Amino acid sequence: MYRNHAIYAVLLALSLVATGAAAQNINPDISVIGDVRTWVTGDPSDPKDGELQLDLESAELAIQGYLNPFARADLYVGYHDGEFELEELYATILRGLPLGTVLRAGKYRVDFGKLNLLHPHAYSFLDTPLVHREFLGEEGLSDVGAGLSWQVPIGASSLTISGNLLKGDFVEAHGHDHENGADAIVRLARPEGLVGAPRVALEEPTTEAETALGWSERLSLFVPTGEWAGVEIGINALQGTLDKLTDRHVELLGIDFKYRWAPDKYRSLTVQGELIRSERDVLHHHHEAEARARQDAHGVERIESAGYFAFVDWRFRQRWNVGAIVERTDLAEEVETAVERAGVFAGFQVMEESTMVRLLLRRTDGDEFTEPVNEGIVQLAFSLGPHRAHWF
Amino acid sequence: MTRLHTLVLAAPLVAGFAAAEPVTVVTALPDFAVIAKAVGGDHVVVDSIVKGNRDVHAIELLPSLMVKVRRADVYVMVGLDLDLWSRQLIDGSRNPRLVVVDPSSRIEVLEVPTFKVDAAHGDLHVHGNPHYWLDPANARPIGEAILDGLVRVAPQHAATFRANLDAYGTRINNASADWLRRLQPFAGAEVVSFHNSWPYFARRFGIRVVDFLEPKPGVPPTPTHVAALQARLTSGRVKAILMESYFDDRVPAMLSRTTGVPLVKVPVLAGAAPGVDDQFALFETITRQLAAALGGK
Repeated sequence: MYRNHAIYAVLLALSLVATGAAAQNINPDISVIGDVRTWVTGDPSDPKDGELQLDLESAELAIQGYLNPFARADLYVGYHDGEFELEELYATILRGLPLGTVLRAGKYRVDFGKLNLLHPHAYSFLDTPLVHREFLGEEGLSDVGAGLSWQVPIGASSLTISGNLLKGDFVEAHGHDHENGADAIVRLARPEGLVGAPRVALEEPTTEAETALGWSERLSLFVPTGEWAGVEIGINALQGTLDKLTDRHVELLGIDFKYRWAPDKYRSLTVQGELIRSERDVLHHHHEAEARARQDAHGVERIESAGYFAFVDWRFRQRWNVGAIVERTDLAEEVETAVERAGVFAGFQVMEESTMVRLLLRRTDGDEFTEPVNEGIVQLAFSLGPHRAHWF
Repeated sequence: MTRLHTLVLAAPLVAGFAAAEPVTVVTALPDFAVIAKAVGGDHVVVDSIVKGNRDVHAIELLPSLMVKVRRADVYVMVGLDLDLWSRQLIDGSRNPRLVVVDPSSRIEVLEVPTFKVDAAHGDLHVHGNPHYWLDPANARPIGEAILDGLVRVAPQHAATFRANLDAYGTRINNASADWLRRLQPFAGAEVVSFHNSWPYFARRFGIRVVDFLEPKPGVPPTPTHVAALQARLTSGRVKAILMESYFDDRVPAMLSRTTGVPLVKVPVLAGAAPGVDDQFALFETITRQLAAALGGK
């Protein structure tokens, strides 16, 4: 639904901006981010195994600005695989609410973990971590919702508590099917041996799922460890309904940490990681029609799974950084099937941080029946316009 | 800028009529903290976001900085888009009673572009050069802006604040006369600087900045540009390489070594070097080192 109307929303927004040219000072900031990649993969199941490939991985349009002195609005429209998608559109009341609370409403990336708040183009390691893809969605977790956050200063430290009421579309992270609408139940799996590749439907969608409102909560503590360094630890939880008729639910629990030291503009060290545990009700294929006909949970199995990622990113010159990432995740809907991935990466700013060239070399290990996959990826990411700096 | 001015105008509406003593002032730059303390005296406690030898253009947006701004009554930004991070700190502070002061609205802004600015010009500031605190004569208008902010929060001390500002202005004017006298023999001397931080200083003290190590503002020196600079420095007209202490000095040191043009690496912020704790020590340090280099000592 969002995909179909995103491009019209962008055109409308741009036309509004254009007609306000006389009042240029109150125009919002407009930025465009592009992500072009070339890669080679050593995957026997890929028809282009061993061939050099090239594609526009994604593009993103950001329109951001103040609604008034105390509130902002942000719009992000993404372009992936030939389609536009409304990634985020939300308003944030930053100041003026009781107890220093911050209110956000719209469609936005949910603060489940620290990394999910960033768009993937900002990742030094290029791709959404496997555990996020498996449990939060291909591009991370975003949904329509309303959220409140409350911060308690403790000396120079701060404890932040936040909660989000979510529409529930996030549960479709495992079932995007553009042809049949976002609410269709789709059985998904990856092509054999192609770990990390786009999922494909194994069978046609059957009936509409009835999702319901979900919730997420986060408790985080930031402690400064120097003038320009600090560590943040967070605990995250999420509850959602996959389908009311078959009474299937999903629950996620996560912990995350981030340490960053940046003594000057030439050096910085970031160490960050996250662990997510999932409990997800899965409807077995052969029971599905029967279960839905009887409107009970017959044939539903609760699958417990978990995954993690951790990376280190070291900027050793103003324009150079190197790092490494390790990942492991169980598959959310399959028992005793896990994927492991490890990679090293390097980045170079062409003149300034608005133009980045990144290299990633990685190896992915699936189950005992699949061969390990080695990949090499080069990314050119560029940012046109005043895209704002990210917070810690 | 209009949005920021709106911010300044709107803040008093929720600021309350009088804050508890003392008034807490947080400034973007340590130099502004020095002036705020001089104006506020015992009625204020001051702190700054930038501390030590830090590039003011690139600040880590740590939550602890937002906590600092959350507790403030007055926040003094730089403006002219130098500290874009100040907007994010204000947003992240969750502080509705904050009075935001932008002293750049009180000074004569130099190098305002008269052409369409985009990223092809590097990090060129759309509203003009923002390094205005490097002219000691601007201490007075900066102090006036801070005074207005303090009076909004603590109007009962307006007379004291005004007297303090007058005293500070007199002191820095007297010191400035001495710095001018010592640099006057070098009026018109050509220097190359690392970043375009010096137009206000150069105008005050008669120095001519003829080129920069950065090929464009914010862009690190490139081999081609350094080679061109090397040729210019060997011409004999350029008397010094003037650089801000928070930049990497390997390239300017190499240029100095190979051309014989002295390198003057100086702090541009109070607190950026031992003993440089206020504006007086800052300008004294710059004056002493620059005069020594230009005088061939």
